[in-house]
Amino acid sequence: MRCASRRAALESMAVSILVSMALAANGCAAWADRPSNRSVDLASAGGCHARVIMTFTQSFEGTPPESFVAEIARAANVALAFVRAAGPGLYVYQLDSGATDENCEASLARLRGDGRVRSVDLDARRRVLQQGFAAPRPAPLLDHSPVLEVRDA
Amino acid sequence: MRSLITATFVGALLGVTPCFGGSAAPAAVAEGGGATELNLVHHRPAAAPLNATDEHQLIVKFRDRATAQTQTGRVEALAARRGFELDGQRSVTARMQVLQMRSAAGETVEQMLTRLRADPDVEYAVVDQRRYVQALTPNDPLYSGQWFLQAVSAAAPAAIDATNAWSTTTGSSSVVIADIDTGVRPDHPDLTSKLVPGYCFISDAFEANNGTCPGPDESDPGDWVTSSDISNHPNECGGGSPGYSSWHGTRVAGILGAASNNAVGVAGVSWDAQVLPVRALGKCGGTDSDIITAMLWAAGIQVTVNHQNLVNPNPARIINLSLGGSGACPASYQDAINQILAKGVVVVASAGNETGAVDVPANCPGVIAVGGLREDGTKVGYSSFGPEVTVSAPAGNCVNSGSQDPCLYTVSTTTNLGVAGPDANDYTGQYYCYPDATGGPTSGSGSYPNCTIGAGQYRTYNVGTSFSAPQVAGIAALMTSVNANLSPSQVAARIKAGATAFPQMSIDTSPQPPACPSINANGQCICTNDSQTCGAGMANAAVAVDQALRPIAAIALPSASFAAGANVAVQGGGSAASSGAVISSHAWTNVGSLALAIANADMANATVTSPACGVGTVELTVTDDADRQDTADVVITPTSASTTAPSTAGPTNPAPATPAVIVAVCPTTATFQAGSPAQTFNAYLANTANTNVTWKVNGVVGGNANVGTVSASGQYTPPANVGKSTNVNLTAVSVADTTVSSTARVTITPIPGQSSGGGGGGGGAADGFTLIVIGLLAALTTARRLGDRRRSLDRL
Repeated sequence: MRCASRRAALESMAVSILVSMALAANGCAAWADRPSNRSVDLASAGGCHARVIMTFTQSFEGTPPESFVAEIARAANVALAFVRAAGPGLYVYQLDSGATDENCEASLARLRGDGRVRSVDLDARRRVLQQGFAAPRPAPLLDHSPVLEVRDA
Repeated sequence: MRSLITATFVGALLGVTPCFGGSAAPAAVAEGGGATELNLVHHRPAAAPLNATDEHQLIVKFRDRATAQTQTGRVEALAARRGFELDGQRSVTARMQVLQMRSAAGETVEQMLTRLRADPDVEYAVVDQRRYVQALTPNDPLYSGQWFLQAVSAAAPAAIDATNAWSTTTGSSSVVIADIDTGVRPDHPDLTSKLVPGYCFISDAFEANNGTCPGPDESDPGDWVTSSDISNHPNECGGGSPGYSSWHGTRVAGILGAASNNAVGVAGVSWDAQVLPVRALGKCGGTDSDIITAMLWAAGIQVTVNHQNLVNPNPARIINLSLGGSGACPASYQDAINQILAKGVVVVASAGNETGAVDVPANCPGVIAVGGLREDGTKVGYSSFGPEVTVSAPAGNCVNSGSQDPCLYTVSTTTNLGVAGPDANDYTGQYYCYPDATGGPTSGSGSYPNCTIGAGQYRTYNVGTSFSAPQVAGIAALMTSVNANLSPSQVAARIKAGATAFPQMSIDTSPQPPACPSINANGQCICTNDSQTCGAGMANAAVAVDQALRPIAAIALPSASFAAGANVAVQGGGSAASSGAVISSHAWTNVGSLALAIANADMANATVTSPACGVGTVELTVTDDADRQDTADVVITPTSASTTAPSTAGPTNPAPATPAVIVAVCPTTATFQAGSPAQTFNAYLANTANTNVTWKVNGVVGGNANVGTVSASGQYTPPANVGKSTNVNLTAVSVADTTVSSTARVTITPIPGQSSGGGGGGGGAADGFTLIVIGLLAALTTARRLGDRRRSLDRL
């Protein structure tokens, strides 16, 4: 029992060390540099493929009828697939459209022009607002020199 | 109420000021038996002045035998028996009264008390001493490093002074603060007793990183990012960099409400509030849709997850969002925020670390957006800024001069030391300590001798607007614990009212940074005191709590429209005092230049006579039994009444929408003979601080010789002559809102004998016709008392 516990602890430490080494080798502790607002599917470049949050001028018990949404999609020349409700009156859809609208702006503009659509926004990414640190020099790692502009700005 | 009983005062007077006479308090305990402790600490100012002619306030408890008499009767009897001049001020209980005893000459307070205590009806008599609160210093060992919670000082003017707020309140366990973030380490010893069950709303398995989301698991498994995460998950992490786990939700939770005064770790802003951890962020952040669902659930609004309806059994009163991203406020956020505000829930968000425009969702109307300050009150370089910021608070800055120097102004809080998955629960530090290439602690290398971490661990200092927002959320929790009726907009208004003006110089930056929005090379600037850059000021917990203790003035208007000259009911009975206080008086007064008749002006419900012409403003002042006040206005036109106050006090009773600008020209009609002297028309305005108007005649600014001319002050001069009786429109257009105007109809009659036929009519007198034009609302950015203003008053 004790040996198993010790082994688990050692394994845990080993994993931790490996992760830390992997992170360090790539320039660690830079979570503040994570991107924000990335919601368009980069893997499907060439068209608009994005999650969107929609509200409608009409209210519904439960989710909006498929036929209602299909008509809006047809009018905007896009495809809308229901994902889930984000809350009362707020619905998440997968938006897909033609190959000439990589950033989805044209598709969103068409949807926003439909009187049945109260709003449509990209389901953007947000991040924590912990101020990060400048990426340390890759080697030697101990020669980490925080950048004054960041630390004392 | 006050029944003054006059009797003969006999005795010698000694000059002892009884308010601070220390000997009576022990007597209360010794003799009273039932006397309660009034406050925390006695404070006796040195060398209190002696005043032999003061009234002395006493607490007198009568024996059972005296209760057969009325309270007034027994005081009268006592005064007559003992030869005192006593005033039966108020009763505490059926047998205990507060009395004013008036000195005449020669007798000390102690001598008077001795004689009082000798009376057979008196069980005890003690001086009603003044007590003073004392700043509470928690015994948490790391509190000494939590400079941001401490009293404002010359070295750290940006500190929020939670210390003195705690003298009034340490919060309430009935107030729940939602920490919408990466989750928490629920086993952290400084948090575990403060948490209520949360939920994870992360819908992406990679982002969640533990296989338990969505689901009732608020624990943070870590959000570390590896290079393979970035390459394999470009939608979530594209463009990012590898990083250790942030333990961000744990850090925020510690500021909101770490277990405090428990001799462990750090103190939180609200000692007694409960923290609701809600996971919406994981690896590489989180999506709007998950954050919105988390916010709605936290507020007690039903959401549906995996076909399951969820209702939070511990709804939050305050939601903290230490997260964000760039862009304009999306409609989806605004929709959710409006639902949440309607539930009476306060939403606080970090302004952002962009050194630029305020992030989403802090830039959404209704959100308390919190900017970041350095310790000296200047904007910290990374903090976003702009007119959307509500208030600012310390966000952490280091003032470091070398790479191994400590970060002097870190925002110390709870964290975990794991680089990836959870390791030991601990606290943030003043140094940036991370594993060396072998996985060992940097302290072993000697380069960072102050690092105290074990193998595979890391510890950082703590900076970012992520940590200024929870200070303000904690302040909101303290405020709502003493006044549960505060609505979200009232909480925001009172935080702003309690904020300290920004200092206009830096104490440790040379050369001096520029005034915002200009910035120096580090992004730093001097915050302006116009609410256009860093909000209304530096958040101050002690003053904000004092603001929260004020009552809430509410005005109901049973009839919002009526005929000119009508008696308009204005009702202030929905006003409310803070916890433990009562409203002691109502007062209705004219505050505009147009005085209106008010009946029952000292009652909760009054009646105001609407004007025949123009706009009046009547103000309700409510006062509680501690002499704290609040005011609210009613704007009354000849035919309508409006107010910005709620009809009744309560967290879900929002104030009406900001009212439209009102312009009313007086007189509304007039008839002049051509060539007659100028007459001044008055333009009354309400609901705007800008009382300027533009005068036009028949649409022409200033008029002309054919239709008459009007000066900038409203002096209208008819044309020299007209061929026949002619009507012109004299219009005042609000400068604050050019869509709002009011028009008087003026008839010009020809000079007798010079008409070209027809016309005629009398001259000079104004008719009783009234025209009020109420236009659409301009974008008013300040919600403060806006009285009516008369643009020009004097008749030539």
